[in-house]
Amino acid sequence: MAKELTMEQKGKRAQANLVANHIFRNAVCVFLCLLSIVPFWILFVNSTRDSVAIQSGLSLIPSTHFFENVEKLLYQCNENVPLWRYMVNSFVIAGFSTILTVYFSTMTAYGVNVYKFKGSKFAWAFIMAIMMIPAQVSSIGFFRFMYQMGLGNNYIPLIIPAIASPSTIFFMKQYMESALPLEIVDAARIDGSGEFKTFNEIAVPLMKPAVATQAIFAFIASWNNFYTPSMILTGQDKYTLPMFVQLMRGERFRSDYGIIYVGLVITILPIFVVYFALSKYIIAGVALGGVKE
Amino acid sequence: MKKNKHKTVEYGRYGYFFIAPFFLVFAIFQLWPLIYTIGLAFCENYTDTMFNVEIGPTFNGLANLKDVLISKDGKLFDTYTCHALGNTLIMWALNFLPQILLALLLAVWFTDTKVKLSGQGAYKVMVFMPNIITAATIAVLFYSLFNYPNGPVNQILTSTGLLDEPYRFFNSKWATRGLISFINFWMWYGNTMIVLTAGVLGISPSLFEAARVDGATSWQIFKKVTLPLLRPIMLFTLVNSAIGGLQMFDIPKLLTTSGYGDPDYTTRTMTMYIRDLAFTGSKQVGKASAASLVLFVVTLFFSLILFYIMRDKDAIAEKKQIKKAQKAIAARKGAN
Amino acid sequence: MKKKLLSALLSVAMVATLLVGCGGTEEAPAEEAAATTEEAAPEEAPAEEAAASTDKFYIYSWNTELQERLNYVIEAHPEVGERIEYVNVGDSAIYQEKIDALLQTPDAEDYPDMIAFEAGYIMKYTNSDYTLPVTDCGITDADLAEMYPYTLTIATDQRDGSLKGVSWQSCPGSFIYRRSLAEKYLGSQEPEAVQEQLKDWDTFLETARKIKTDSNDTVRILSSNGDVVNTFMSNKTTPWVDANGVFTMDQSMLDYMDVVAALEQEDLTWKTSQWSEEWNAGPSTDSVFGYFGCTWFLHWTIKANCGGEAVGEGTYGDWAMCQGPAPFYWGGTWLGATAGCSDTALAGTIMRALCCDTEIMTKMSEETLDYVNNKAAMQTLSDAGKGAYEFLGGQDFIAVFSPLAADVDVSWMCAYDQKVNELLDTQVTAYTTGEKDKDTAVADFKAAVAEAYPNLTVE
Repeated sequence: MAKELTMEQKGKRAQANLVANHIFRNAVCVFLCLLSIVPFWILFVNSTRDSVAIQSGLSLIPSTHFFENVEKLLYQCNENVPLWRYMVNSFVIAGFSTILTVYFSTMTAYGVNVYKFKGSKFAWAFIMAIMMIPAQVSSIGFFRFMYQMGLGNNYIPLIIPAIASPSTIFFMKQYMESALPLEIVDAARIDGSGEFKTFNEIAVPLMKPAVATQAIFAFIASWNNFYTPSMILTGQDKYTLPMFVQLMRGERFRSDYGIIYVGLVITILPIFVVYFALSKYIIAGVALGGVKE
Repeated sequence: MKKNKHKTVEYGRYGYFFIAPFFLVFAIFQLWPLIYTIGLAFCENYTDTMFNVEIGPTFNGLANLKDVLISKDGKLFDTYTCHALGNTLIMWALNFLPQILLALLLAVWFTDTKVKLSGQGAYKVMVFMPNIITAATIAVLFYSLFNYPNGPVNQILTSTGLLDEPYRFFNSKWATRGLISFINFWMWYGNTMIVLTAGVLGISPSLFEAARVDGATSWQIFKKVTLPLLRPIMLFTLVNSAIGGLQMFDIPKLLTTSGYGDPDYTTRTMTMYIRDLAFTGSKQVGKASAASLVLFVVTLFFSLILFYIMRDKDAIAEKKQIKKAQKAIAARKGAN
Repeated sequence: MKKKLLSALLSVAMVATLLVGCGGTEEAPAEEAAATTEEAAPEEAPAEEAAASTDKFYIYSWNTELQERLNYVIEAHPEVGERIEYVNVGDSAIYQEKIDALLQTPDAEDYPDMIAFEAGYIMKYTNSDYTLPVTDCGITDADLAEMYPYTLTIATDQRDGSLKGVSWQSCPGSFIYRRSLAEKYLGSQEPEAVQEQLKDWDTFLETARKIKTDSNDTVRILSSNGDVVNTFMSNKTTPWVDANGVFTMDQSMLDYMDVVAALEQEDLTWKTSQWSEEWNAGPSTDSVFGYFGCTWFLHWTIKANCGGEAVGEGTYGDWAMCQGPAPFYWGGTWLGATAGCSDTALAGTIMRALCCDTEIMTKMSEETLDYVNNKAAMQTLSDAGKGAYEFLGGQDFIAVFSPLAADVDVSWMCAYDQKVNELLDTQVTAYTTGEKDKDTAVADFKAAVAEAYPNLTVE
C-alpha cells in the first residue's frame, strides 16, 4: 500500500520536477535573451530622447526626438563627411572583399580537390597550417610594406588580401568533397568544356549553399573590421563605419547624448536587418563551421 | 590506358592555375609582411622625436627581444610587453571560463529529449545576435552605458539604492577588465553554444539510449557520455577562442577613455600595445616587431595544440590500440 | 535611326565643346562660341597647361576649423579655392599617426602640401626636415610684424632659427566663471574680487571648499579634475625634455599632483572627464562654478553649451573672466608647408592671407570671434568696442586677453609634450584615486616615459 503510494508520488514528483525544470530552463533562456536585447533596447530608446532627458534618468519607453537627433547628427557629420559616405565606403570594401573571398576560396579549394598535381598535398597542408595565423601579428610589416608600395589610404590593402582566406578555403573544401562528385568534372571534360568553364559554370553553381553561408560571414567580418582600416586609411572621406564609431568617441560628438546614441543605432541598423533576415542560415553556418572534424 | 594517364597529368597542371591566386596574394599581403615584421624585430628602428628623424633600421641582434622580455633592472617578464600579454590572457580567461560553462549548459538543455524546450530557434537567434554586431559599436555602447556619473547603469544603481553615489567603472582595474571580459563573454557564448549543440547532436543517439537503458541518470550520462565525446570540440573551441582572444583589440581600445588601456595600462592588450609602440611616441617599430614576434610565438603555441587535437583520429586510435597491445604483451611477459 | 544617333552624338559633342570653353580662361571670347569643332581643338592646349597648375593642393588637419578659416583665403583669392584639397583626418588623437605615415611618401598623390599642427607636438615637425621655412614660401619679416611673439617662438626650428609655421590665432587662457554663483558664494561677481579669491592654488582650493560647503554640495568649483592641467603645464619652469635629450620632472608637476589629489579626495569637483557629455552639460546647469578656458574655449565650448543664445536664455550672459591662479596658454593651430610642397607660392599666398593680412584677419575675428594672431587687428576691434561681450555680461574679452596674449611664455614647451602629458595623466589618476602612492606614481611615470622614448635620459 505504502509502496504504491510512493510510486504514484514518485511519478507525480517526476512530473512536477519536469514541469519545474521546464519553467526554470525557459526562464534562464528568456533572461539570456533579455541580456542580449536590453543594451540595444536602451541604445534605441536613448536615441529617441533628447540630451536632457537622457541625463535625468533611465527610461525603457521610446520618446519622440529620434528624427531631431538624426538631424543633429547629420548636421554634425555634414560639416565634414556625410554619414552615408562611411556606409558606402564600408559597403564597397565589404562587398568586394566578400566576392573575392568566396570566389577565390572556392577556386583554391577546387584546385586542391579536383586536380592531383605535384605538391597538391603540400599545398593543402600549407593552407591548413597558416589558417591560424592572425593578420595582427604581421601588421607592422604589412603597414610599412603597403606604404612603401604607395598603397596608404587606399582600399587595395583592405580588399585584395581577401583572396587569401584559408578558413573559407577549408570550409569550401569540406563542402566540395560531398557536393561535387569528380565524375561531374570528368563528364564536363568529355563534353569538351574547358577547365575554367567547368569551374565557373558547373562547380560554382553546385557550391551555392556553401558560397552563400561563407559570403554572409565574410561580409560581416569585413563590415565589422576596425583593426586594419584604422591603420591604413588617413582621409576621413575614406573612413569606414567602425572608424566613424571611433570618431564618435572623440570630443566633437560628445556634446550631446542623443547624437552619439543615434549614431550607434545607425551603424548597427544594417547589421540588424541582415541578421534577422538571414539568421536561419547564419546559425546553421555557425553550427556547420564548428564541427570541422 | 596510357592515353588516359597522360590526360590526368595534363589536367593536373591546371591545379596550379587554380591555387595560384591564393598563393600569390598570400605571399604579397601576408607572408612578406610577416617575414618583414620578424626581420624588423632584430633591427633598431625608431624615430628620434626631437628632430623627427627615423633611426635605422639597422641590425641589432636580440636587443629588442631582450628589451621586450627582460626589464631594465634585470627581471624576467617584468616588462610592459609581458604585462600587456598578461592582461590579454587574464581578460581572455575571465571570459572563456563562464562562456564555455554556460554554452555547455545550454547545449545540453537544447538537446535534452526529456525536457524539450520549445522556442529554441528564437533563443538561439537572440543569444547569438551580439556576436555579429560591430565590436567597435558595442564598445562605445558599453562605454556610454557605464559612463560616469550619468550612464544608464549608474542611473539604475543609484535609483534602486544599490549604490549611494555613481561608480567610476573605468577607474577600477577589475571593473574595467571585468567589463571587457563580460562583453567578450556576452558576444561569444551564443556562438560557442551553437557549436557545442551541433557537437552534441553529432553524437550517435544509440549511445544515449544504451546509457539510459543501463539506468544512468542525466548527470551520469552528461559526465560519462556527452562530455568525453564533446571534448575534441571543446578543445577546438578553447584553442580557437584563445587565438582570437590574443588578438583582442576593438573592445579594450574603444571602451576606455584614453584608448591606452585605462586605468594605468591594466586593460592594454598585446595588439593595442604593439600599435601604441609602433605609431605613437618614438614609433619604436623594432620593438613593436619584437612584441609581435612574441605574440606570434604564443599564437603558434596554441595553433600547434589545435593541430595536435585535429590530427587524424583513426591514426590515434590505431596507435592507442598498438600501445595497449604492447602493454598487454609487456604485462603478460611480466606475469611470466 | 542612324540620323537620330548622329544628331545625338553631335549634340553631345556640342555640349562637350561648350564645357571645354567654360573650363578655359575667361578671356575665351564669346564670338568664338560659333566656332566649329575643328577650331575648338587647338584651344585644348592652353586648357591643358592650366591643368598643370591646377594640381590638387593637399592640406591636412584633424577637424573642420581650418577648413572654415580657409574660406577667408578663398574669398580673397578665388583661384586658390579650386586647388585646395582639404583632408580632414577626423580626430586629433590619430592625427600624428596619419601625418607621419603620409610624410614618408613624398611621391604619393595625396602627399600633404601643407599640414596643420597643434602646440602639443608642433616642435616635432618644425624641428625636422619635413617642413619648409616660411621664407621659402615668400613670407617676409614684414608679414610677421603683427604676430604675437610667442606664436613665432613656438614654430621656430631650434636648429637654425628659421620659422617653419604660422598661426592665425592666439590662445591665452583665463578662468571663466559664473557671475551669479560668484555673487552668491564669494560675495562679489566682479573679476577683480573673484581673482583675489583664486589668486594662487592654496587660495583656489580654499575657495573650492567654501563653495562646496556653502552650497550644500550643489555647486563645485570645477567639473573635471583634468580642468587644471593646462594651467600647470604652462607654468613648468623647464620643458619636459631639454636640448640634450634629458627628461626632468619639475617641482611644479609634483604640486600639480597634490592639487589634483586634493580636488579628488575632498570631492571638490564633479569628477567628470573633460569633453564628456556631463562635462559639456556643465555650463547649462548651476552646478559648476567655472572652467579654465582660453580664447576659443570661451566661444566654442562654454557659449556653445550654455543652453541659450541670448541674454536670459540658459546661462548666457552670466559669465565673466579673470586670470585665475596662474596665467596659462592652451591650444592654437599652426600651418606649415611640407618639404615636398608642390607649390610654395600657393602655400605662401595661403599663409599670408590667413595669418598675416590684417584686413582679412580683422574680418575673421569679427565674424568668428576667433582671437586672431594679429595685434593690429585686435587693436582695431578693441577700439571699435567689439570686445564688449554680452555673453560675459558686457565684459570686454579682448581687453582681458590682449595683455595675456602679449605675455605668453612658451619656454616650457618641447616636442614631447602631448605624449608625455598623456603618460602623466595616467599616473596622476592612479595616484589621486588611491591606487598607488606618490613616489610609485612618479617612478611609474618616469618608467613610462623611458618606455615611450628609449633615447631620452630620464632622471
